[in-house]
Formats: sequence, C-alpha cells, structure tokens
Amino acid sequence: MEKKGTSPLIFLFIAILIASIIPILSPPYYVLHIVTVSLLFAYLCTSWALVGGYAGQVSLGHSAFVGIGAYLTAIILYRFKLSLLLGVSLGILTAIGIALVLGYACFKFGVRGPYFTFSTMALAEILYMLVISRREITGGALGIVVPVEALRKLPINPKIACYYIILFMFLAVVFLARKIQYSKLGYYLVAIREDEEAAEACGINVLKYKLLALCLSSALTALGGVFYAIYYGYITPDGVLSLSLSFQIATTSLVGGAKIWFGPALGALLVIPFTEITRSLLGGTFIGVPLLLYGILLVIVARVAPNGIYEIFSKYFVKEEERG
Amino acid sequence: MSSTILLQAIINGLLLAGIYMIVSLGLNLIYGVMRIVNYSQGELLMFGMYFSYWLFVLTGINTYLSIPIVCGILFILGALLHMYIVEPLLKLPYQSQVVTFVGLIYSLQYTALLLWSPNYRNVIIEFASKSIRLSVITIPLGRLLAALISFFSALFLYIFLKKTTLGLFIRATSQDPVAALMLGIDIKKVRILTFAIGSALMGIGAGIMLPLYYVYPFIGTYYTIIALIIITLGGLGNFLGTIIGSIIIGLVEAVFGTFINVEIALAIAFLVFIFLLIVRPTGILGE
Repeated sequence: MEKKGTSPLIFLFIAILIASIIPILSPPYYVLHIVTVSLLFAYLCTSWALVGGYAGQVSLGHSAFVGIGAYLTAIILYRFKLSLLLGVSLGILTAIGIALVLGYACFKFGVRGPYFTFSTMALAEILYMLVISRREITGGALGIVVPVEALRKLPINPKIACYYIILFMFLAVVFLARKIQYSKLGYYLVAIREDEEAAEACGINVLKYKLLALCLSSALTALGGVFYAIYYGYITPDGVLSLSLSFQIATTSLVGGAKIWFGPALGALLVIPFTEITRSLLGGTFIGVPLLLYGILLVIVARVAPNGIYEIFSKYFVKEEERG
Repeated sequence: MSSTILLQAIINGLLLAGIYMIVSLGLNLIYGVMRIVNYSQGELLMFGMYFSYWLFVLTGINTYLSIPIVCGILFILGALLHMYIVEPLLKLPYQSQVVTFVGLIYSLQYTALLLWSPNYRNVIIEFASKSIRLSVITIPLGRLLAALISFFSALFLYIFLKKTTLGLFIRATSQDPVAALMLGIDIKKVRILTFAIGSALMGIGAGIMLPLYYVYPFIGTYYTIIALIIITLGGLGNFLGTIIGSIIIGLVEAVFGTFINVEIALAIAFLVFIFLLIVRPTGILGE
C-alpha cells in the first residue's frame, strides 16, 4: 500500500512534543488554562465517541458521568476528609455501575436511537435534581469546594502538575481509542452501528459489546470529572451536571468526527481554544458571541460534513483503513 | 387537613399540565409527521416569550391578546427554519440531526442573550396574579386562564387535524409519507406547514406563561426535556397520549412537589420515564 500522505500519527507526535514543553516556556497563566481546558475536552470527547461514535448510541447525558466523578471526589475529600484515590475509584466504580444498569435495561429491551438519547438526558437530570435537593451533602446549587492536599504538597506549581496529568490522560485515551478502532471490538461496534440486526445475525453479541462500549466510555468520562473537580477546585451542578455540558461534549465530538479515533480530539482542539479565546477577548455584552458562532458552525458542519470535519482534513492523511 | 392539601396539589397539577400540554403538542406534531426530534422546541418557546414581552413593553398589549401576533411571527420563523435547516436534515443520519438541533439551541439562546441580556424579565398582569377561593382550595386566575387557553387550543388543533382537508393531509403524511405522495399530496408543503404550526403553538405557550414565569435566554431546555418525557409517555406521535402524558407529569410534579420537594418530584418523574421507556417503549397509548 503506497502512502498517499502523512499519517495523523506524525502530527500527533509533533503536537505531543510541543505540548510537553509548553509549561517550560512559562506562558501566562491564561494560555496554560486554555490549553488545559482544551485537552480536558479533547479527553472527554474522545471518551464520548467510544459509545456515541463507534457504537452509534448518541448520549446527550454524559455530564451525568462527569458529575459522578466530580461530586464523589468532592464529597470524599471535603465531607469525609478521605483520600483522593478512594474518590477516584469510587467515582469510576459508581459510573460503571450506573452505566451497567441503564445500559443493560436500555439495550436489552431495544431502547435505541432517540429513545436512548432521552434516557441518558433523563439520567443526567435525575442526578442534577438529586444534587440540588441534597444540600447538606452536595452543597446544593451553590456547589462544593474540592480541597486537594496532595496537589499542594507537590514541588511544582499545581496548575503545571494538572497540565501534565491531563496531557497524559488525553494521550492515553487517544491511543486507547485508536487501539479499539482497529481491534475486533472496534469492528464489532461499527457493525452494530451500521445495522444492529445484521450484526446480531452475524453472531455478534450486540448487548455485550454495546454495554462494554458504554461502560468504558462512562468510566473514562468519570475520570475526566475527577480531573475537572481537582483542576477547578470548586464544582457546581450547573458546571458539571448541566445539559449544556452534555451537549458540548457530544457535539464537539461529532463535529470533529466521532467515527474515527482522532476526530473528537481534532474537534475539541479546534473549537475549545476558539471559544475560550474569543470569550476572553470580547467579554462583557458580547460574551455570547463565540457560542452563537459555535451554534452556527454546528448547523453548517452537520450539512457539509456529516461525518465530521476530519473529512476535510482526511485527504492529507493516509486512509488508515486501507492499511488493513 | 392533608386531604385538602392533596386536593390543592391535584388542582395545581392539572393547571400545570395545561402549560406542559401546549409545548408538548408542538413537539409531538413535528415528530409525528417528520419522525424528527426538534430538540430546539423550548428555544422557540423562549423566543415567543421575548416577543410577547416586547409587545407588552413597547405597545402595552396584554400577553393574552398578543397571542395571535406572536403565533404569526413564530409561524413564519418556523416555516423558514424548516425550509432552510430542517428539510435537508430529513435525509441525514440521526447524529447529524442532533448536531444541527443543538446548533440551533446555541444559536437561538445566544442570539437572545446578545439582544436581550441575561436578565430575568417578567410581565405583571393585574388579574392574572389574583386568585379565587372555593371554600378550602385556591385557584390562581393566571394558571386557570393558562390551562383553559391551552385546553381550547388543543381542542381546536384536534378538530383542525380531524375535520379539515389540510388536517387530513397532515395525518396522511404522518401515517405513510410515501402513500401520501402517491395520492398527490405535496408532502414537502405539508412538512413546512407542520413545522410552522408546531412553532406557532409555542406562541400560545409564550402568551400564557409570561404572566406566570420569568423569561431569560436559557429557559427553553427545561421545557424541551419535560415535553420529550410527556410525548414519550403518551407514545411519540400520539395526540391523545400527549394530553394524558402532560396530566401525569403535571400531577407527579405538583403532588410529590407538595409532599416532598420539587427536585425529588422531578427526579421521580424522570425515573418513571426511564422505566416506562424500557417496559413500554411505545408509550401508554402506543400500539
């Protein structure tokens, strides 16, 4: 197979090199913040794509898993003064548990397409309502602080430490997504996405693989939530459990191209810096302009590149599928 | 004592159902004909509320009386939205539809934010804030009027769908678009009309809600979710199901809201919804 262009992997390696030296250049705090947030979204969007893109089960309730990770960490650290590790493991296990229950119930009884989307939205809303109403544990609508002692004891600046953590998490999830795409699991998921009945007829255990995709995606998303809580140090239900966060994760992922491993990261790394930078430049009355433009961009991209903007870039890349 | 509270809660629930009904009927009509979920329905309601608000502030027209004007504006807006954005979507996969509608949500919300700021605005109408007392129970006039207008609009829509030729075309397209096309119905125009009516219904919702609730750019999504739950409960595309669904959700919210609290009431409603989706995905009245 002759090479038609450069593999996206090469771009990725260059990007990693640049990314890993950013903090050494001691940029202004706000540049580091934008890069960190972009990487966090790239991480969340790639996790979302495992179920939303690969398996084709569109979830508009992934903030539920972000919220589980973030809130359990916050409650363990702030209310019970226990270790971060316990918060992380409890967050991930709870996310898997909830994903198993919801996924099993939905996939077993043929809840799919828009109906699956509704049930994920309802899940996020349930958690939102619970957090708001259990004020004495969660801090209600006002939110809760996340005191991370471990981070303060580090010899380096906590923000730089956070940056390296999210960079590592991002790289890990992107490589995992790539690994899955070209594995048996990945091909099974594509078969399920394109035609569930045909996949079932071919002997693929549809229920098992859809569940696996959902659990994996929600566990990774919950870990992202833990990072969110630690990085911001303060969480509110409107920040981590809102529908608008779910919308943003799902659409950024789909805009980049949720069917391919580098698509969601591409989407997030293009969209998030743009919205963050324009937001801080415009400010004041025009604070909504970047999201207005983002909305228009979504409408246009859905029409001209239904598979995501990676299609526009893909002519420069080797078609990885053709390598076999 | 608690039986009067229960009675009051049931009355409140029924009145609330009237408000939910009108939003859900719009979403349901659009789904029934096009098999497409308009996730931006609540944003159309929000726009309607702002139009109604500005008509009140600038010309002093009572929000109930300005309903026909707001409906007209939303009818045109809906028709344009359909022609330029929704129609091309019908051939695209579900993922692209979600992206487009979320795009519409952001566009409409942030347009409203730019034009009208994030401030909470409301309209005070003298008689709507009064209430009548029937021995032990209280009925707020604004809510009663809202429920009545909503109920009669639903009745009117039902008669329109059942008794007129246009209504027949809409029902035919909803049941089988291909057969409708073969019988000479211009289904493209029917779709435009449906989306426009679905949007115009938000004008009625806006007029009855503005004297009761504050309007701000992000009010819409909540009503979209409630409406999604209601139409799924009643069976997607089912007219009577939507009415029953809104009564159930209104009652659950008001009764559990009175005895526990509103957040828990809604959490219960959402949980029941997931459960029903699983055991009876076609809804209560679906085949």
